[in-house]
Amino acid sequence: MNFAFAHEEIGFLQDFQAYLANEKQRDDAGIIFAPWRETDSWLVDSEERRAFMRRLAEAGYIGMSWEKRFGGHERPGIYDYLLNEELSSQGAPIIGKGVGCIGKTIIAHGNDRLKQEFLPQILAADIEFALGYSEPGAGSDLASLRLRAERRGDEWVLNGQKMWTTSAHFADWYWVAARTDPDAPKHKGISVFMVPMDHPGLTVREIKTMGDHRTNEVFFDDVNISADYLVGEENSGWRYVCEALDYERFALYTVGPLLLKFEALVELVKLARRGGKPLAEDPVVRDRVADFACRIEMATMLQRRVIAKAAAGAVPTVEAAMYKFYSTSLGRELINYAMDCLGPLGLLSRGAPGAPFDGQWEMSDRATVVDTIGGGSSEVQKNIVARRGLGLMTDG
Amino acid sequence: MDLDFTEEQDLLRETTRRICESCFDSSVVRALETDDHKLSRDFWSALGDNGLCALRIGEGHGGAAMGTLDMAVVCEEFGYALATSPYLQSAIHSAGILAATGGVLADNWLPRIATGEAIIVPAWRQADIADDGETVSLFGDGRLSGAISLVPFASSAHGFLVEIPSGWALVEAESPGITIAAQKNHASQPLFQIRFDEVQVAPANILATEMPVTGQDVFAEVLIAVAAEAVGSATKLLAMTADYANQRKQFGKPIAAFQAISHPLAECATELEGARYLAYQAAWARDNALPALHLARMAKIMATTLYRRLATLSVQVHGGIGYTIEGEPQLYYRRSKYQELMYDTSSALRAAVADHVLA
Repeated sequence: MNFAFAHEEIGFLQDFQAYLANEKQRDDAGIIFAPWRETDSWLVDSEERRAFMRRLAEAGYIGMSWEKRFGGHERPGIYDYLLNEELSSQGAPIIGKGVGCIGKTIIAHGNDRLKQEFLPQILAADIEFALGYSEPGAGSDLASLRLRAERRGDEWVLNGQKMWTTSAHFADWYWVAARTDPDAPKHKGISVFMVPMDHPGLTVREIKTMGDHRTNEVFFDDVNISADYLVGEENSGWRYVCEALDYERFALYTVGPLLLKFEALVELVKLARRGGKPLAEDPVVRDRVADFACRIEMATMLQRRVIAKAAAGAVPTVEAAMYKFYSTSLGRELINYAMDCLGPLGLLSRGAPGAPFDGQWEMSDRATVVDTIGGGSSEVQKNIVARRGLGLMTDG
Repeated sequence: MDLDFTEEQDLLRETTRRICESCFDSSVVRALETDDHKLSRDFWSALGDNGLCALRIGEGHGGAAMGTLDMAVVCEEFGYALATSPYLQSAIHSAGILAATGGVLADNWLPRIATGEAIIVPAWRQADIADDGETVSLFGDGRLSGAISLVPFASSAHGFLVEIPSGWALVEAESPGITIAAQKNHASQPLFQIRFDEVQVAPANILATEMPVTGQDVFAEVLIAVAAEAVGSATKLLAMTADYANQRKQFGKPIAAFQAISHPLAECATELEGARYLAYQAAWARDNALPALHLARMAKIMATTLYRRLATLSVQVHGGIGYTIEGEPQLYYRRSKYQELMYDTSSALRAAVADHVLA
């Protein structure tokens, strides 16, 4: 057993940290490095952030784990993870859907046209994707999705609605799961399509959230696309969706932002005084901070299990489910506690006179609400642990 | 033992609910979120016209001299509708401070507070974290200087009861040297920072008290009001969440059929009833001249922490909709933290409870 990263992994990380330190000297660094945006900071949603990703591509950081024949570096997946750990810790956009679930699914199952059209653009960081999974009636029960795709000659025609497509307002292409066989059992009638976001049949409507994050609902009205844009085989979409989620686990399950939250809590407790005494001397506060310290270390262990299993070439489904719900609820609890430590002043928002830490904790408390809901709710994760981890015969 | 309300109290509840329903529906709640002053004049007038502002003011000052439990019923209804107004600040807290001191100031202001014509807001140091020495000092020449944060409805107030080391100073809002700045916040509540720059205070406007604000007798009343309001909001939110869980179908059935949904809601329902009657008991104790501050503290802790926990659960049960502005749960989620942190935090109140229990 060895909990340390390998020599060459550490060297790679240090090189990358130096690269980012250089990036931070730029005038637009404030837009690119924005940890206060919480999970929204992952998005490539501005020109500055797109240019940053293109520079990453030029520097050779995109497609680390892809095979050489598709333009990759054939490095182990842990390198994608190391990049994202560093990027997410600094609030920069992460290397996400393109290199991860979409690129890897196209490599594994896509036809030649999809490979030729999309893989070079992904490697150049010249393309942004939106994921179309959830629908008004298909949330936790994702496989019940109803967006209809019908074959008409050489085309597919899509009609229906998607929900919670975070990137719909800036993405170039839409990765969409649709129902191609309404008569088959729900997992067996789904296919995946690529749809250009500028298709006139698509209507994107903004959904505002309490975390100041924008998300969208997207309406499909006779959206016709070439049959070439069916990904893999018809009615095999559910398998691709599940595989794509597995690809995601490696790269997206970073622990850095949580560790930084804990450091910020420690800093707060050391700086703040209540009734003239430092909070750090209050035994009640010390007890809570110690408890958080233990659980943060636990969360790190759960995360290491995800990485280790994926690095060994296995699919860490149960491990990732454990880490996801444990770490996201811990993060929210920690922020809530920081608010308690700040007392009523902690209610003040960014820009308000007297707002401690310029309202960062207040913003975090709203913005991380989505963490236990999006990307598979805590309830879904617990079902995975119960069913696939423990073998419990659960309902639903 | 009798845990029922009197007919008069039932009537009072109905009256308050009717006013809230006609003046404070969800669209008003949302419109006020982005309003500068965040005060509904219609609602405030209705409260005055129906005699609700006079509830806790003595008959000698034009009040109705009703009890703390009556006040709790009214505040519970405010919470149920998310109806905000300076009621707590003016008709409960300031009225209580002035009544306790009596004299000319009480004679001057209480009749106008009772009709709602005057809004007097206590400006005291809510924050227990050091914030660059934000306090107000009264100098020997009768001038007041300093700043206080987190003062609700300051921009709508006619006067302030300003916390000073020796008690309170009544300062009219028009006095030269006062500046007010909005403090944008988590719960979109009307919070303001007031700066006093050599504001002249007449000696007659000083109300001497020895206790800190949160130890004063009237503060029990404030805690009970906040607890009752939290109970009211939680009641509405629980009903709304149960309704959603029954309607929303996944995996071919209402999500309420999953115990992961139903059991946490059942737990919240249980604690809500406990907290509700704890608040009533504190109010009853106060009405019967029994020690009430200890109970009031417990009621405020339990009601507001339950409210926050339920709001967190409600957002989760609603899923993505719970995170949106369009959905209702976010209104409660943000307000519950406000209730939890304002008017003494749970940790400060727990310390006081421990002092009492371990004395």
